[in-house]
Amino acid sequence: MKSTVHCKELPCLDVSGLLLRPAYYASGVPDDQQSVGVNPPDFVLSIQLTSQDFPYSLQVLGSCCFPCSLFMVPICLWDPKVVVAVLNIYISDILFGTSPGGNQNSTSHTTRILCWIMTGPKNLESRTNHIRATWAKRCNKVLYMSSTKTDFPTVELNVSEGRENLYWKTIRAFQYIYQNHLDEADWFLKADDDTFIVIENLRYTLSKYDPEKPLYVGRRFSPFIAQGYMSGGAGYVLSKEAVRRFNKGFQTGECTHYSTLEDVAMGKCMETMKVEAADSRDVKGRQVFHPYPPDYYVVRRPPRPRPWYLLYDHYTPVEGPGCCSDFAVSFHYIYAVQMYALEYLTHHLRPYGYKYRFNPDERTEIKTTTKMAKSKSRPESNRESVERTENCCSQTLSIQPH
Amino acid sequence: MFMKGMIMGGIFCLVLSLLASFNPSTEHTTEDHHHHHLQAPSKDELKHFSHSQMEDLSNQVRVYCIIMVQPKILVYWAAAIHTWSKHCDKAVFYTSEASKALEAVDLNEKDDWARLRKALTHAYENAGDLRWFFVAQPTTFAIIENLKYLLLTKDPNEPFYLGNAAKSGELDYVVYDSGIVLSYEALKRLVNVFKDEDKCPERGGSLWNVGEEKQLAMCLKYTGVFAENGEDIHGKGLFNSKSVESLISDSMQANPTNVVEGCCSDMAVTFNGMSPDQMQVMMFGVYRLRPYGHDFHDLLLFDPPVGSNND
Repeated sequence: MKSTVHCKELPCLDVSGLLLRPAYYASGVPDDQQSVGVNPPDFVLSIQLTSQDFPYSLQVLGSCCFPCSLFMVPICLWDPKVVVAVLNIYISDILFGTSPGGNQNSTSHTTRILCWIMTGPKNLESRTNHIRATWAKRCNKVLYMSSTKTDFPTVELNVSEGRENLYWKTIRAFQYIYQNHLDEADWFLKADDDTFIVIENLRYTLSKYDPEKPLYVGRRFSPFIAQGYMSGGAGYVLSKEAVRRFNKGFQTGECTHYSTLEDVAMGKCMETMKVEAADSRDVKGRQVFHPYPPDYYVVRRPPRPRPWYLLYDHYTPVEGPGCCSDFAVSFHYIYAVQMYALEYLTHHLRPYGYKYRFNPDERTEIKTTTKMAKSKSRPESNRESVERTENCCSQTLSIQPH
Repeated sequence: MFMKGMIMGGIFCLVLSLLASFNPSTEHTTEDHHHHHLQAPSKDELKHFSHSQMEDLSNQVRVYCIIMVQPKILVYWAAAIHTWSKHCDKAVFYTSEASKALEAVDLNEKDDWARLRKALTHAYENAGDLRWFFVAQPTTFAIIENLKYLLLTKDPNEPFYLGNAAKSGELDYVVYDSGIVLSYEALKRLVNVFKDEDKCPERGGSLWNVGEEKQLAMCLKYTGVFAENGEDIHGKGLFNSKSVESLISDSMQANPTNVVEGCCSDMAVTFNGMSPDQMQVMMFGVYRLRPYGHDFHDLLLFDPPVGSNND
């Protein structure tokens, strides 16, 4: 079924709730050779929907859809009738209902994240409270794991408090999640009650992986474990398959309470169960998970041998502004004031009109037409999208049922 | 007799009313700057401008940064050079005495007020085609893009004097350490009144024991320029005399259930009291760190500075 698209000045359609796996590749390259960060002259945005309501896979061929970001499909490419017919009620809510950004409470069907926070009764008010007030609400699901059940609410893990019991807590937490919440998410984040997480950036980082593969993502450390292990404080993420294998490991006895060092012990089990340790760095090789606060990394230093807090890094660490990704996911040893300060710096304070240097989605730079002259100040982006639609709306929209 | 009395009374009345309406101070321009609050433009306001008008506006808001330094605070001086000042269209450092380590305009002046006067005069004489002036202390951290947004629709040929406005008795003044903004017209009037030793003495500081921020306000007042508070469209102050952490800490006390919203503006222009290391972290926090997927469709675009790698 093919239909010619009609150009209209319409806002971007947020399909982040419907996207499983974005695939950018030059036309003709098959699906399994996807690689984010490659800049082909044309791109294909492939949307696959697993829900029974949406049995179609949509492919849009074109190169002009710049004004919208990764999970936004510009409506310039779609006849609204076609969109509504194929994508059902979800779309009409977005098009004619509330604003696209307003779907705060809609679960992302693609990169759903369950966050569990390792905490204890002593820290609920002084630390965990502030996590709840800041980043926890962006998780698809959040669980606060403690030794006791409270109205915070916390989940009781039947383990006593203390550093030596951290691995027991982790084991019990993942067991609890496996038994009660496995289907509610694709990825399972473990964080401490002094870890600051940027969930949007975690989603972005994880979007390039398949949660059905056994994967383990975080700040990779070298010692003790052959394939390395992920820093506990910086937060780490297990894919759904990794959670299954972690639990299986303890059921069969392949994994044991190897160490009181929670992150090393987790690394050992992951290695035993053949869960792969991933490279979480961004396309520029900058770190995304951080076991210390930003000032440890960002501050410029003269060239020197690795300081103690960088000794374990698996990938050669960089000190100074090149340390950390624009889309950083975590910082650790963040207490109340810094937690809110980071929330403010990440989600609130911004430089108006600033053209960020790092723009991984800016693909159309390669295929700019002569109309797109760069100037120091630009008018409303909508005007530019009208110019670009002249190009893209001559493309055809193909919809293939599967 | 009666007629004489009437005429006397009439003349008396006339003279009285003439005296009352006689206002010795100043030229007020058509725009009354007594309203004290200066708000940033709203998105709707900006939608009315055409492409070329926006180009003109963005050219008009170019900023000349006047950064007052001293050799004894070299680390802050260096921090300003390597962080926020790179975003000024022109950043000039004015020092009390020369330093071998860093370059600046050496004013060779220990008195704070006299030094500020000299710096402002120098800036006026070297403004070129820049029309907005931002005076900072070494402990100030500024986000120049947000300053430009605040000033976007304001005419620099009108007298503007703004920042974090405070009151001392009857005098409204702009607090120094959260940054002082002057339009070209305000600076022009100021440089003129510097010549008047009665209204605006050079050694006034030692005479009256009043800080230079208040002296500045007094001199400007003589020229009909009044302090205004720079605010966002929600009325939140954009110029802060405290650091981010300090403001957050205050907000945790004042608004424990709504700490971040109750704190500072999303479009804040200045903070003060941050260490050089914290300023480097701010560069990362402001110009890099952000959540993926949020597009703002701002109506202006500011390119990153050339030859800089921490923004």
